Amino acid sequence: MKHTIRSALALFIIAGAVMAALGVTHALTREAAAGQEAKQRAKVMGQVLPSASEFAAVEADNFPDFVVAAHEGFAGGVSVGFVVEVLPHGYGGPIDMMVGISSGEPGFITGVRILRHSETPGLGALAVKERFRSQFAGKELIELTVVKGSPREDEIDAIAGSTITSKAVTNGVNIAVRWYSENSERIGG
Amino acid sequence: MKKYALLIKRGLLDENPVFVQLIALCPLLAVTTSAVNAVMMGLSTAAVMLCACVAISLLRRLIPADVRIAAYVIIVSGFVTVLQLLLQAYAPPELFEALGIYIPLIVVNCILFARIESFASKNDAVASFFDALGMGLGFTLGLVVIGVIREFFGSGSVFGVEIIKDTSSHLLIMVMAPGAFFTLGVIIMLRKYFMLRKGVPHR
Repeated sequence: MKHTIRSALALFIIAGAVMAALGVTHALTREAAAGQEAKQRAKVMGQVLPSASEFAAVEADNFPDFVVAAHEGFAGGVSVGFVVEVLPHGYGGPIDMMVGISSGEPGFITGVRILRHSETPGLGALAVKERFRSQFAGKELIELTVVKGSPREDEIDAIAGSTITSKAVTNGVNIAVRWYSENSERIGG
Repeated sequence: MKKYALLIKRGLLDENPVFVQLIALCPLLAVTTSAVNAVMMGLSTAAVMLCACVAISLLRRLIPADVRIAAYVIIVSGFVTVLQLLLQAYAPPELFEALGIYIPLIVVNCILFARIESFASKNDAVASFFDALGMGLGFTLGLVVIGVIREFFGSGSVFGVEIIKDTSSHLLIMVMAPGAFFTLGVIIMLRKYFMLRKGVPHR
């Protein structure tokens, strides 16, 4: 009995000490982590809509499914387009991505970046690479489909071995474009 | 001093966790798709191993034998979580994303428990430090060798620098789990071959 209590007590003290250390580290790194996250988001927004220099979040009571947030981009006070954050289902879970849309006449996709994903390393994870995502830039605002090899104007070349991921990312872009088409005029654009 | 140098050499070469002990294959398969991931995973594991082995060595007389595994798990997971929080706050976001789930998985990496159970819990802190350093660097070495080979054949690049631009010549299987087994198998085969030729007795 005495032995059991001694063991339990030792374990309790170790767990308490580890917990204290974790609490201290968490408190010390929380601000830096949040800052990293915000900085990363701002950087990505600038990458997907390079013509904008400032961004303002679009206020909306409810976004449609898979749309998380939208930001309107301005250059010198003039609206130049939107960055739509979407969350389509990938192969390994949701893919958090941003789609930049220029609101010129006609509008076009300015860029696509993936913020967070859990796709297969070496396969689906290749979606973050320039080679895949650069296909979207410059596309007109039409429904895109995924094909394997030699894509046409409204098609995207799939990543070899990762059709589901390719479709998910393309789907995300389509969702963003749809949101833009339905809402841009209402907001101002 | 010589004793410590030997401990490092043992982890790095004679008892290399990847090529000789064949432990910790899970992270090996998962993260060695590129050389950069391999370096970061290796160094992260080494850092956790250093902290955990020294801490456990210092506490070895205080941890009751019958709950020692539970105590080790708590201590190791504590260090892993601290590492994760630090990486989240200060490492480049792309890198933190790439390592993703594999950082928390260091907790259940058997190489840690192998070193703790067989070395740190029986030796003083300084020796444990060098043992963990040797094994950590040995693990990193193993990951990087395999990461470089897989990245080269699978993605045509080394440390992210493109060498083969023609994507049709990339061997997709090399970035998938079987590629890691093939690479590891060939390296072990070559190592044995040269050891036998040099007349090192078969173990």
